[in-house]
Amino acid sequence: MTDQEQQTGSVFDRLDTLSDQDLSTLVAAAADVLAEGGDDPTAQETIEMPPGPAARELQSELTAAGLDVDEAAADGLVSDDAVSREVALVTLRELAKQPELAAEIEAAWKERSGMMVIDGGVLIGAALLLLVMKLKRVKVKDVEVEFYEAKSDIVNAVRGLVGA
Amino acid sequence: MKVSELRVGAVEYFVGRDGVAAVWTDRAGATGHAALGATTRFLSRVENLRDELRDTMALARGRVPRLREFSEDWGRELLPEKLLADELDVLVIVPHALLHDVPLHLVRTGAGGEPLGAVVGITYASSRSLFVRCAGRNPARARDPADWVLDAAPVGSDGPGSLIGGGADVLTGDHEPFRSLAESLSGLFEPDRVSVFEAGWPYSRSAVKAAFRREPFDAVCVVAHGYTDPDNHRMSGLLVELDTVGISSRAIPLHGGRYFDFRDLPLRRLPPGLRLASPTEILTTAELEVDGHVETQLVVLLACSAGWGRVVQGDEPASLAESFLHIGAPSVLAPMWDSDREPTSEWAHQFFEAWVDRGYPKALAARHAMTHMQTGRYADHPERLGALALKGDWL
Repeated sequence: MTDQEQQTGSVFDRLDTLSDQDLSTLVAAAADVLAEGGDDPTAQETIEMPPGPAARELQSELTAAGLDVDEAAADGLVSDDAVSREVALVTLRELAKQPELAAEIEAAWKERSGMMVIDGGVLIGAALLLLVMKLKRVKVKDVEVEFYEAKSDIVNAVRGLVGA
Repeated sequence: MKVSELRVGAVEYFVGRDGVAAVWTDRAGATGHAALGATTRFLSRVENLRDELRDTMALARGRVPRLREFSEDWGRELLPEKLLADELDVLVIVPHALLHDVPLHLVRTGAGGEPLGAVVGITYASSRSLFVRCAGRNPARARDPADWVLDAAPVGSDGPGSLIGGGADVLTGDHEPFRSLAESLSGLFEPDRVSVFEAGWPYSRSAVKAAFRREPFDAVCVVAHGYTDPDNHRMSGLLVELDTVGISSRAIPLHGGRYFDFRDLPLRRLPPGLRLASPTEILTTAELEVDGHVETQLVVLLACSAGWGRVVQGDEPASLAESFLHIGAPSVLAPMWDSDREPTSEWAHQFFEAWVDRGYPKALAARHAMTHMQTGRYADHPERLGALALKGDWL
């Protein structure tokens, strides 16, 4: 496959090769789509949550989902760039399994990528994970996407990252 | 039509504790004033609008209900009816306090629902005194308006003919699209009077500032990412490439023909957390104000949010565009919020075509660009067709 063909394929097919900036933009696009169509009225606050409170909340959500995560591991999910990237990739892969959701996230990513803007560039993989953990369903256009199965798969994938 | 025949008016706002008022000068030079409403009536709506225009994701997705509401509904309350009835060609807007950065050019006032910016050529000036200074230093003011004919071909030697520019995309490390945008805009100028920074050399702080120190060009075009410091706007700036030759030295003339060499260091480090593909440094507004002087007719800043800035003491919006007006530019074209690359390029090309090829004053070139965008694929996207705005002198 040529570089050009790679660029024209779905962004979810080349997650591993995305630059940190592109991945960050994709995470922001996914978070925006989830917050926009999700059933949690506090979704926007979740995205903008500072690292400390986000770590505590993530720890609480993961523990409730049956994953025993200590404080240090939760902090690592939020503040360690390498772990955050892995969390982002794991979460995005699961979201990509829902075709309507994947298409909407990719459309948002393309629109966001066209902007002449620099953002903080901080990978917010943990914020995306936290958002997914809090949501039960997301409405994308006229389709409702349930999150129960995806959530369970994501928790299993995160288990490998935190060694729980 | 000649420039001397243009109908030019101005409106200046005053935002007090109790109310918002406007004073205007019509095309005949007569003045009028109107109370526009209680400040509380506008305060929260302007704040909400501003929040929306700072939300890059909402802008990218065209999810701008507050901008639409402003454009189609309450924005009109900020425009005196008598002024609108004056059928002006050019309108100078002098905002105040919370009205800085409010995109009045997007208020739909035309008979067919066109935005104000497509009906009348608009320029913004943060104060009357700044406008007077910008007009006073504008080389275009030396032309005789009675001899300045719009749409005359050829425009002649009095019109804008030279451009210096460059571009750097430190976010992706692929500088060519930004450089190409500067180059494509330069295509309307005389080929031997164009200087676009070449690929292969870093478009650095030194390069940008050196361009200001060369002989005057009619237009200076910088295509780059902007960075807005959330706490100190003087430390906001343009993200440009790090100079690969190291820190350059500059000579300050001392007494008796002696010089002092100083190291031209940036005034700030890169903010932590930025993930950039190229080695980068920031040309801050603070640096521009102490080490920049530009002689030109127009500075074009195609950098995100370059026209936006928090209002600081003295009712001054501390934006990159404002800084360029302070260091000598009579007019600046810059986006008022984060803009999309394609419509920005299309708008700028339309503007340059009208300004350079058709001999339009800048405000009328802006109206031409807005009219074009209004009839195209961005007609229903105020966040895209209205991002760029002219500041400073209108001529």
